[in-house]
Amino acid sequence: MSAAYVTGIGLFTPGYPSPRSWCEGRPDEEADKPEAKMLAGPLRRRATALTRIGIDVLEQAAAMGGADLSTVPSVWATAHGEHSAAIALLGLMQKGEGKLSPTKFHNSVHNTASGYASIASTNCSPSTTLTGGHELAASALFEAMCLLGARGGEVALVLADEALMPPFERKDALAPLGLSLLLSDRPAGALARLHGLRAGKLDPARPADVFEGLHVAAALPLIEAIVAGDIGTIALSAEADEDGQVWCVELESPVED
Amino acid sequence: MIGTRAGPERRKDRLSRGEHSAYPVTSWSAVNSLGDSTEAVMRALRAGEPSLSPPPANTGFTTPCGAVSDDLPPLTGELARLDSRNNRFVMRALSEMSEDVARALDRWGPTRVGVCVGSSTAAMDEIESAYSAHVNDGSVPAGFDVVLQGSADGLVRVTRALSGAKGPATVVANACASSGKAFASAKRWIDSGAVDAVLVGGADSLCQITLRGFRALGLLSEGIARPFSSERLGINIGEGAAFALVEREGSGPRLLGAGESADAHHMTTPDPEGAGAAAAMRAALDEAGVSPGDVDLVNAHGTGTRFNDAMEARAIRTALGERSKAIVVSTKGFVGHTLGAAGATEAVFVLESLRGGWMPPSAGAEPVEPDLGIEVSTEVREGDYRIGLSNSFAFGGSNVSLVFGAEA
Repeated sequence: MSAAYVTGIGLFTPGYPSPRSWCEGRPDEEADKPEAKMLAGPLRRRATALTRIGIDVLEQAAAMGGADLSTVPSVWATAHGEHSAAIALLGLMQKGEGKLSPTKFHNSVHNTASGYASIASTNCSPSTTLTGGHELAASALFEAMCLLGARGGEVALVLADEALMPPFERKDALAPLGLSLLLSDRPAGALARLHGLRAGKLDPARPADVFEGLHVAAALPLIEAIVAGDIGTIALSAEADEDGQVWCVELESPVED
Repeated sequence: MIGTRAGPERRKDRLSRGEHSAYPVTSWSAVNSLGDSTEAVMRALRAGEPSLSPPPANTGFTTPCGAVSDDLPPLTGELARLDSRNNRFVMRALSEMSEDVARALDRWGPTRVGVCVGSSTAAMDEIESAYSAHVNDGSVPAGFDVVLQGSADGLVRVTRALSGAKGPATVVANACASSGKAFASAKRWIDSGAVDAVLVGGADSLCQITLRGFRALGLLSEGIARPFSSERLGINIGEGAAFALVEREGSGPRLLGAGESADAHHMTTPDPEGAGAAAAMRAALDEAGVSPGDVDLVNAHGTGTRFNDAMEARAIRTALGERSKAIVVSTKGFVGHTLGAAGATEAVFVLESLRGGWMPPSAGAEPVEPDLGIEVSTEVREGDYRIGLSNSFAFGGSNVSLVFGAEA
């Protein structure tokens, strides 16, 4: 598998509208909602909170890396999908004849955010949404690196999830989180180089407590390491498998190629 | 470490030299309303036996559904905590392939065998039941785990545990294109050199959200779905699971190409010009190195809605040419639209046509809408089918087309 250069990153969680604000611990209380600038008119009115987060972090990474949002292929990852929309549908089904809102229905599919992004930016390039499992952050990076290897150029990776809602809430995750990486096959302007994605013996990823249980947060230590300029082996799973292994990737300076 | 066995060469560089990767599909299975084994499914398909039945009792309106038998056994032992109707389909479908999967694990090594499964709602029916219990009893059932039993997390864990595969594992969730796109991902994974085989599949189970949601969109038919008919009125929803073992080497029909695109048009209505669908078909043919004129059969997305079938016929004419010899079939009149499982289910039907030399009819297609301009299969046909194409389209304007070739 080809190595990938990281040319842009993004992060949103309420109060932290960028990777740097999060890593420096500088909350911005006014940044409680993502910008998601590409969404306008009916798309903006209808977009769910999770879709706005995903699109916002996509825009952050694309702006940093200079990617064209109307052409860049993308991989999206979400463990719980559009959970709020699904819960709203479950509530509607309990009322009267149980009729559903067509908008809420199409907003409940896992690829809602990528669909809105495609429409808003008239992007006809392939886009794949992945879900499932404590290895989601690693499998999404794997898919994105395979797509980059196949097509060349750039690939955007967006990871976003929201905390589970009543009556299925858990006591761990408290806040939604969106993360993004713009991957390129060229080193120009890169922040870092990734290679050697594999399962290995390493301590699991330990994202901040506020995101515990949110599978996509397993990619947060990678974003933090890129901002800090760190290099080394970075874990991408928050849970070891039955063989005691976790997925991990080598993070290097981009000039080593 | 992943990715050292084959060179990390980009696909476009290989294609520019006229080199096309082709991977044999060495084993497959399907479980749906036609039967709870591949043999039963294919026998019923060839016999043209109807399998659609009234919807679940709590539906409250009329629409035929493609329901799997309720007799499938539950998951037990260590997998009991992952039991769901959806995962029972998975266990049943994988049980047919256990010898072939074991051989692949032995040949390639478990870490070199990946898992890529498509699903739209996974076990949403279990979540609906738990939510109803919460409304009626004040709490979700004791022991219910929404992640393990309701989400795709359980689907990954079950597929891995039952197969023994230890390579990369994920679920593609692009709604109705999910398991078609799983084949596209699998081909990329093998192309990358990271794995040597991928257990590709799809699984989805009937639930009220999809039945009521498609009804809210005005797309659900109160009668049997009749794709490509001038009298078509909409879709029926089905359920099931299907799997295929794609390997770097081996014998069987081959996965030759996959093409993906986005409409960038509307969340639920396809671009009427079919540009995105045609682009996916052309990309798949380019990757396969197959001329449009060589396509023998197309298993269409063919939902039976007025918009989809008109758009898809136009897209097929655009991609394959007005004089294409391809015969077009939609199998959704037999099993309903199995949503996230549809791509894998219909890929299995294409693989059977390439291996067995026959193709099914489009149930209910007569009278075929004359303006479509494509040749729709209305009866069982026999022939030496060499190249088959399978389409899947989805909410969000997500399109995928797969090209399979008969065993060389």
